[in-house]
Amino acid sequence: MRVEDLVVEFPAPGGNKVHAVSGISLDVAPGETLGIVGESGCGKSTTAKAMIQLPRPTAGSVEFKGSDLCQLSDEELRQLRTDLQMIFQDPISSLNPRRKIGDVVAEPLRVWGPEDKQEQKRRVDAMLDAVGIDPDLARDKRRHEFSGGQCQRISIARALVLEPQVIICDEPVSALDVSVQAQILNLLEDLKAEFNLTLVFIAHDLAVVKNISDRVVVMYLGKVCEIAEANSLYAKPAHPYTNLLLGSSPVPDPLAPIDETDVDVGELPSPIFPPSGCRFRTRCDRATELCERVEPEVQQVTEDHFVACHFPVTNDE
Amino acid sequence: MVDDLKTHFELPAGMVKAVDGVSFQLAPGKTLGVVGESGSGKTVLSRTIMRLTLGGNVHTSGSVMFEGRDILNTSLRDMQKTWGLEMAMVFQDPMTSLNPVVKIGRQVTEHIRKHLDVPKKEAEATALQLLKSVRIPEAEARFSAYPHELSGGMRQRVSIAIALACGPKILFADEPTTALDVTVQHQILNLLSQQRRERHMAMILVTHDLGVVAGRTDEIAVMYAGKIVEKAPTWMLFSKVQHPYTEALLRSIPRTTQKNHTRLAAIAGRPPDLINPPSGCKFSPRCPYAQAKCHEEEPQLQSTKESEHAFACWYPVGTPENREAFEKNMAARLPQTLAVAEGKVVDESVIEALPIVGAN
Repeated sequence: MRVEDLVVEFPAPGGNKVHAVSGISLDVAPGETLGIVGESGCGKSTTAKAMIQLPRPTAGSVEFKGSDLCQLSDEELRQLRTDLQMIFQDPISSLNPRRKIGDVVAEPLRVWGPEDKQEQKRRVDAMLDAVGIDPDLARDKRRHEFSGGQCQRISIARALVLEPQVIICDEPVSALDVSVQAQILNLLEDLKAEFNLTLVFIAHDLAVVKNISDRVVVMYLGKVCEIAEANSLYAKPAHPYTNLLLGSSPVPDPLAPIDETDVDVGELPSPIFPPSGCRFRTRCDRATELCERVEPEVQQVTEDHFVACHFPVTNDE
Repeated sequence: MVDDLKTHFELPAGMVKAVDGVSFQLAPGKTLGVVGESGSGKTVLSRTIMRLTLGGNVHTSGSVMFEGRDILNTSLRDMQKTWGLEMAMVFQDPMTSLNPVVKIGRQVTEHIRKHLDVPKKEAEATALQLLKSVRIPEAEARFSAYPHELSGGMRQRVSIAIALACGPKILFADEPTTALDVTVQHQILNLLSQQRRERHMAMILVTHDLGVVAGRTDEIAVMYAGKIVEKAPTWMLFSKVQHPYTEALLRSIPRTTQKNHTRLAAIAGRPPDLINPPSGCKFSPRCPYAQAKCHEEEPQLQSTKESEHAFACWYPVGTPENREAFEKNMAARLPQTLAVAEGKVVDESVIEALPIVGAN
């Protein structure tokens, strides 16, 4: 998928606008996992949903299978939905409490075919199996009989049943216990290989995103700060915000140093009135007058590493 | 000092043994990290100690000694003198722990005046100082703000200011940063560490996040199904893990220092039913090393020769017996062992259907 200059704005009181996403451009290569990371309000979820037109973005283009999704009619878009699926943050509310699990996973097949009930059942069972849920035990149960981790796996089965190309994963492990997170992350890796999937994985946890991604996009207040191959991003972050995120993430190692300097006492500015120029400048310790006047463009640092900053962090810092 | 603390909730379905025999000591100025996932009992533990578990269906036994006083047998009326003054708590969700219709300045002064009986002007001056000490910017202006006008991080700072207002000797922080962004979390945890050092205050930090406790605690207690399964000085816990659950937790967390696509260890199944917990060791159905003895007899928390590292396990990590148990289970292709070894998803229905391992 190729996303260009994506803009998503929502109306706010007083005739103002919430600038949720303000000109994002990124590529998702077939078969890769692209991670999108950032804190609340950065626009990562909104970006992912806008990519699959839920809702339609305010401006910009999303190219997929030769068409710009933003320009397609509702019916043309609907036809492509079998290739674009999504799993959500709250695994329990993603499933209809009144329906049996077998029906929940079968529903996409009832809409798109095949007509044959036996074939539908066969596919549902195959997908439940693929996510580690025993179809015979689960089929007639309802969601309240399952744990959070199991519900998430059922949602994944539902997303897979149409054999999509791309799955958008919107914070799929944030609501789960730590030991269950690992199950889901491993499972997604296995399923990606088995079904040749392309994943867009959104999360706020840096370690989770790194584990599953090939490349990672860091967002702040509706803008892209940095895009890089996962290992390079974490080894040599170029954007001050990426640096701040990495320095703030708790490490399960008692010998890891903790930064107790108050470098960042900042608060997230309002997305209705974002700062001029670089949106991160109010929390950045290297911001200058230039950062206030001119918004930094995304520039290339190395082959697969891009950053939007006037004073990126260099190797020797 | 907590000794054999138990908190059981009587429900129509049965007795939920939320906390089932927890003991530990906490010295002044020290920080204890209590780590566990959902259902481990960590929140019920801190609330029980604070005497915040009320209701006709709650059965508490054991003892909690604080400064020589028996907390569990103190009347709630007498607890009024302890709450806020000597023991304070910071909760996970600052929005529900602050009164939404009272300005934040007044929430702090109210607290000071109730416990320290000082005139209003003095209380206000102290409150302002407190708000500044928790790094609320423009504290004078924010003094007359309502909680909803502040961000989550700011509200948590106010909650901390209130908790610290009367100089408590011990602070319970129950998942104080879980609802906050990682950069804000870092600021709040730094604030708590700093305040703790300045006031020589003891702290119990309850969390599910091993990263949060790693650098900020003196000792860690890992809880599972209402019991402490491992307790050690922080550096010892991480460098010489003894309990299989702690080991599995540590191996299932992704780290920014690992390469991407690193296979994580997964733990089979899910935390047990606290009304009808498994017989023997509560972790045994999910444990990669479990043997017959584990299902029959529950191991007690015991210390090693160093006497600072306690754990409850028949086949602790790193011992030859543990190694043998692992080989045996791998050979038998036990699902919970494969889950940890290969990171595969293993559903609880699979484990429940298994015959008892090693019973030959």
